[in-house]
Amino acid sequence: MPASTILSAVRTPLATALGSVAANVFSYVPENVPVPAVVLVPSSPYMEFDTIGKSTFKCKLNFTISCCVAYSSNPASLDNIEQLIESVVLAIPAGYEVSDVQRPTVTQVGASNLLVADIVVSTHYTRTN
Amino acid sequence: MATTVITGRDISLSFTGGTDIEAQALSAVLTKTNLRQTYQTLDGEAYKTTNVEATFALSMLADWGKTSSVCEALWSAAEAPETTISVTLTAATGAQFVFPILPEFPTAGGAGSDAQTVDFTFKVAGGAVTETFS
Repeated sequence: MPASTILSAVRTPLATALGSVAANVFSYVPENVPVPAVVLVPSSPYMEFDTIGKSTFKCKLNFTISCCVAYSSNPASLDNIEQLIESVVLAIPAGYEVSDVQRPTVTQVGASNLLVADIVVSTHYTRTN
Repeated sequence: MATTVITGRDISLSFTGGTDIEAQALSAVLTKTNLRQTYQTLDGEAYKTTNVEATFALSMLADWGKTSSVCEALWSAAEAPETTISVTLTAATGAQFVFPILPEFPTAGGAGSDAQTVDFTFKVAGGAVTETFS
């Protein structure tokens, strides 16, 4: 077993850093989404191999941080998601490229409607043996 | 004979000082050039090689602040600008190049949305590249 994994070195620390946000934070896609929620989802492409050499596993990891709030009234929901995005962006630790935020969309999860916006972030991971 | 393909993943790179350059390097290209004068003679073109030069282009992710930082090691090395650093580049198994580079100061800073990167074009001292081919 390697000493580090993407879960232990990247996803869990990122989710922990986002723990200061007033929302339920998941480092994986949960079965149910208790709003407000911040969900760390692999983006596409998930892994990019942009450094030279192959002596150890190294890659650029792309993630989508999905910010989810309840969608009831449009002005209040938009304000809620904007505030959630602000607090998430402030909580993203050093070493992450934060490129953009996709426009909020209404997504139906089960019986409820959520307003969801995606923040695209990237970082580099090197496996330590 | 089967086609051979080598990629940037086949490269291995190290330099004096032991910092982990390979973890940071995005590309590494050694270029060695014969500088030729061309003369038009009554018999046609004649050539004279007047010098052999080499450069080493390195693009890397900046790592300021990291333990054993490559950027910090290169910055310190550049403060003794005439002292060369020995670089070993293996393009693929069986093709190794060892050469001395004159150090340069790395840049610091970058755009807000991107990872900070540093690009160098090092001069290879004396164009002296020692190759080992299997």
